[in-house]
Amino acid sequence: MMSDLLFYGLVTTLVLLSLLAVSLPNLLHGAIALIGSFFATAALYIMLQLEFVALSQIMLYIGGIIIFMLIIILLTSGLGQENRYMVKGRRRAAGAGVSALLLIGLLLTISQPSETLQKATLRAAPVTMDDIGFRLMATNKNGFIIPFEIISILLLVALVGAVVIARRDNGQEQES
Amino acid sequence: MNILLLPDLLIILLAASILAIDLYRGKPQSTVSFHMSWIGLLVIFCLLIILPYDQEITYWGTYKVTGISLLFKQVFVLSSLCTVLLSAPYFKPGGNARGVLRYRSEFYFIILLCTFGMFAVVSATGLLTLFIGMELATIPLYILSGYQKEDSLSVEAATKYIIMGSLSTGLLVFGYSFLYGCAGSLSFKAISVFAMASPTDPLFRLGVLFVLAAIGFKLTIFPFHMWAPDVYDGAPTPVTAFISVSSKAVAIGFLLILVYGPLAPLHNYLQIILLILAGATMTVGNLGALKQKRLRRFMAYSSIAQAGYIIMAMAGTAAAAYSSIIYYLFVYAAANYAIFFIISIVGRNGEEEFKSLQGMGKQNPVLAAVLMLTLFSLGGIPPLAGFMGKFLLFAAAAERGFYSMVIFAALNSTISLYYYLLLVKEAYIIKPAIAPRVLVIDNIQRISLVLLTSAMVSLGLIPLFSSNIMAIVQ
Repeated sequence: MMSDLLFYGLVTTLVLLSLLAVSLPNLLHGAIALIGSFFATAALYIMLQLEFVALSQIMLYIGGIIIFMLIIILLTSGLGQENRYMVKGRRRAAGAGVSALLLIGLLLTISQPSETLQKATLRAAPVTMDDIGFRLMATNKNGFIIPFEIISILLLVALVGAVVIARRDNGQEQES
Repeated sequence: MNILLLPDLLIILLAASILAIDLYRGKPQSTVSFHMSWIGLLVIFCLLIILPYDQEITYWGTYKVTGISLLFKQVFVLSSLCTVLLSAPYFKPGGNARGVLRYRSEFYFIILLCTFGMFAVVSATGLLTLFIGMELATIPLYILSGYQKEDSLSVEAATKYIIMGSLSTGLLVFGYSFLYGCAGSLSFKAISVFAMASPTDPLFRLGVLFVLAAIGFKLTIFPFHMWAPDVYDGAPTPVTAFISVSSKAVAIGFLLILVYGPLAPLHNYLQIILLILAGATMTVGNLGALKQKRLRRFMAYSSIAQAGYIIMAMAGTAAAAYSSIIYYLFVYAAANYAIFFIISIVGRNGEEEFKSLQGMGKQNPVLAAVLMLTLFSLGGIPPLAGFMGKFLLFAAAAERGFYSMVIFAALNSTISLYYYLLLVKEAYIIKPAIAPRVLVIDNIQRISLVLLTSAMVSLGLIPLFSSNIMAIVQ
């Protein structure tokens, strides 16, 4: 019972914050609302006992993507600048129509139980962080050590590339 | 027997030592990294040739080396070797009309690790390795295509490439999520079991289509080809050559691994889709190439058309498809790099356009003859390697009874011959309006062109090579 209440509370917060994120006139405020909605999603994951997913949600989305977005806002428009656009009534109606169609489609699909989906959901039993860590570094046929190591190389290449692209060249190098 | 893993380890070691030497003793104009790269790649290639091809070893449970993956590695190593050699004049002042490239050792470092990513793709036994290997094979290309930082075309190319590439990566992950959801595991074995049990599952097929669309971007299949001309034209020429050969080869390897591996039970269903895509791709590529005036843009359309021919072979049986496609990749790489070497010679002190070829037949008849041979090979005229390659590709499709498709492809091939001959006409027949610039050929370019041309001729004349590939595949 308690968890039901918590769930509906979280979901309401999530929907409200997401609505705010797309409707606030100030981009910065929108980004902050988005942080809130990501936290609410992470909380939902914790309720489903998916600690790892919750953690990566916080680390990736809030730690990475939002910071990225803030930098973009900082670089493109002034912080705190308000953008108000007048949306015509016909546009509004068209948008509402498309959304309604999507909603109906989603409801129809979800209400029809798919066997594959159900089976897949059953298999995804709760896992602990330890399991994930061990499996990531395992060297047997279920392990992910190879992709894990290749990611490190990928990051190295990306770093070197970023330095090459972003570095400001002083004319000296060319002359010598 | 750990020797089979040696090429993969050596290429990482080579890249790391290039960066390390540059860090401690690097001078901007030093050519140490260049010599290290090409010698290292040559050593790795020789190693690849002497390795045993009849073994199959899985390292750490998930990294599988087979004869087929070693063949693909040969293509990748040869391609990066050619790119390294091709890039030499671009780092020298006066080596190219577009301006000097900088950060030489970083360039080779990125190329080498990109090649390692391609190695990972052909050695994968699970979707995750396949995905990350593919990313390691593409993300460096975004960096490389923006290497000419002062040139706005190059920056535009990098931007377009990264946007289209990210989109296709998104599609790929989306498709994977369906496959993972159906099979409950990322390993090819589990996916294969699921595909065998329920090949008509709609979710599974949706996933397959997403993956196909994503790889279509990398392979420049119609309708996902529109980024190619701009990126090919904007990127520095060595990078364009690398994208046109290596990136295409790795995407084909990826598709072959999936289509004949875990998705083999769906082959009948995929066959039709692949054939339609192949037909559309070659037509669009060939029609697009007709109106081009800039050489790199022209090569973009030509390579789109070539991708169409290659995809067509995937309608055939596994053995036929693997052997014909790998053979064709060698042939295609030799011809493409020969053209790009000629482009780099022309581009030393002029625009890389059709017009710059004028007068070549009088001024340097040997170079013009090489150009003609290369174009004939790309167009598929016997006795050059291109004919043999195309013949094998067409035979793979004909084996399964797709005769109308083969006729369609042969007609397309005729169109392609027309525009390849346009280049020959430019080099031999059209009289230049102004006095042609003197073509300077340095030793690296001369030796590479000689080697590539002899490869083109001998690959077509000596059947030993293609029968070797067939023996390894079977």
